Amino acid sequence: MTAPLFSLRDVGVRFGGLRALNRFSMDVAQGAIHALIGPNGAGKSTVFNCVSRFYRPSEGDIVFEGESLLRVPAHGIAARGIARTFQNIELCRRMTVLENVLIGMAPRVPGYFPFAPSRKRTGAERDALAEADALLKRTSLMRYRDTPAEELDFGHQKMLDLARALAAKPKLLLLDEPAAGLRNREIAALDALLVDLARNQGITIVLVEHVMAAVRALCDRCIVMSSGRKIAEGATADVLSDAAVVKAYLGGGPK
Amino acid sequence: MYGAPPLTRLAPLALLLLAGFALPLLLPQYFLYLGNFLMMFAVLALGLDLLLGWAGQFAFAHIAFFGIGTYATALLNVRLGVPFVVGMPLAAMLAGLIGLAIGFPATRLRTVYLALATFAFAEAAQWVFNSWDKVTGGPDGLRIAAPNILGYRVGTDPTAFPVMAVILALVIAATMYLTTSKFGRAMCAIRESEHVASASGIDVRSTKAWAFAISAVYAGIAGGMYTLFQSFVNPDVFGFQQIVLLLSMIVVGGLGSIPGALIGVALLGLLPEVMRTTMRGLLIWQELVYGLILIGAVMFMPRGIWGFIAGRRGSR
Repeated sequence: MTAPLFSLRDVGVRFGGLRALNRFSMDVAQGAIHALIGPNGAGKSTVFNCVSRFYRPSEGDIVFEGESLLRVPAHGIAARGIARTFQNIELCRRMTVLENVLIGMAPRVPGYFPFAPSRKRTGAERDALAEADALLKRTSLMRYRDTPAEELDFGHQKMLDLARALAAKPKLLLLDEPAAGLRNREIAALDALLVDLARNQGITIVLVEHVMAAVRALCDRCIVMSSGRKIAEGATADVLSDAAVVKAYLGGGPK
Repeated sequence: MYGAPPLTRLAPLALLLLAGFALPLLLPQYFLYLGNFLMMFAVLALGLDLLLGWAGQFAFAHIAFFGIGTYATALLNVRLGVPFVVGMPLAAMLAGLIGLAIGFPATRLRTVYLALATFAFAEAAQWVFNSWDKVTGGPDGLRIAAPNILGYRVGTDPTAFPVMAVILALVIAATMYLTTSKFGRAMCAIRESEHVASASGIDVRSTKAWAFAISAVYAGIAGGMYTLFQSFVNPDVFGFQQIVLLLSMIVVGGLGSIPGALIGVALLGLLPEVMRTTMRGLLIWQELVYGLILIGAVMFMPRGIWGFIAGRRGSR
C-alpha cells in the first residue's frame, strides 16, 4: 500500500482534565471515503478541529501529503487542499449564496490591488465568478444565488456549507454530520454527490455521521470512537456488525 | 460584493464633483463651511465603517488617527514646508502605519476588550496632543497655514470646497472598489464567522490588521481635509464626543454600507443646524434628540436607514 494521503499519529488533546483525544491515530488513503462514528462527546469533531488548527494537540502529529499540519497556520490548511464543513452549519449568514462560495474560493483567487480597477482584478473576478456559478449549478443552489445565506432553509444551508468547502477544490474533504437533519430525498442527493466526488474526482472524504444508512451506503472504511479513543476500525460492513461496537454505540440490538 | 462597482454606482460621483465646483459660486460661505465639515466627516465615517461595519471589529481608536493625520499634515506644512499634495498622503500613510502597528496586537482582542483597548489608545493619543506642546502647541493649539495646492491657494471655505469634493469622490470610489474586492469579501467573512473564514483559507489576523490600517488611512486623509478649511487645531477636536457622534452616524445610517454611512453623516451632521434655525428653543435638547434618534434607529431599523430602505426594495 502506498503512503496514506492523510494521517493522525497518536494525537492527544486535553481540555483541563478532560482528554478529548487520547493517542488517536488514523490513516486515510487517497480516494477513500472514511466514516468516523461514535456517541456524542467521543471526539469526532475534535479531530476536525485539530486539522483546522482551532485546537492545538498536546501530543502527536497530523500529516497531510508528508507535511506536518501542526507547522501550517490555520489559514494555510485550505491552501494545502483540505476543506471542511461544520456540524452546526457555519455560514457567512448575511452574505449571499454566491458570496459564500467566493469566500470558499479565497486561497485560489489571485490577489490584486483592491482600491482601483485593473486588468488583473477583472480577470481574477471573472474567473472566480464563472467557477462559482458552475459550482452553484452542480449543487442545485443556482436559484438562490443572490439570496442571503440566512434566508435559506436548513437543507439548502447544509448544501451551501458543502459548496463553500468544495470551492476550495480540496483534495481532502472533512464533513461534519453532512446528513444530519436532512430529509431522505436530500440524503439521497447528498450521497450521489459525495460518491461522484470520491469516485470521479478522486477527492478523499472523511465524514462524521450519525445517520447509519448514509455510512453504510457511502463509506469504504469506518472508525468507531468513544471517549477520545479509537475502539474499532475496519471495513464498514464488518465494523457495523461487530458486537462490541453495537453495544458501545448503537445501543442494544443492531438497527 | 464581487467584480467591481457598476457604472450606475460610480456615476453619482460625477454629480458630487459637479457640485464641488459649482456650489462655491452659488452658496453663502456658511453653507460651504457646513459642506466641508460634512465631507470631512463622510471620509471619517466611511473609514470607521470599514472596520466596524464591514470587518466587524469594535474598535474606537479612529479619532486618534484623525488627530495624527491633522497634526502631521499641518506640521509637515508649517515646520518643514512640505506642500499639501505631498504632506497629506504622507500623513495618511503615517496614520496607516501606526494603525498597522497597533492593529496586530489589538486584533488579538475581541469585542468589549478590543473596544476598551482602542478607546485607551484614543485617550492616550489625545494626551500626547495635549502634552507634547513643543510640537503640537498643546492645549493652546496650532495655527494651520493656508495650504497651497499646485499654486491654488486653499484655506477658506469656498476655495477648499472643490478640493474636498474631489478627495471625497476619490475616497468613495476607492471604497466601492475595496468593498467589491477579494479583500472586501475577506473582511465580511471575518465579521460573519472567523471559523468559516479561517477554514476557507483567509488569514484572520492579518485581514483584521489591514482593515485596521486602511481605516486609519481614511482617518488620516480626513485629518488632511481638516487643514484645508480650518485655520486652527487643538486637542479638543479629538475628544470622546466625536467618536460617539461618528458611531451614531454609521449606526443610524446603516453599518456596512457606503450609502448608509453617507446618509448618517448628512442626517446627524445637519441636525444641529436644522435645530438652530427652526427650533431654537429646543437646541438645549440636542443631545437628547441624538439619543432618541440612535435608540429609535436601533429599535426600529436595526440595519439603519439604508438597511431599511434596501430591505424594502428587496435589494441590498
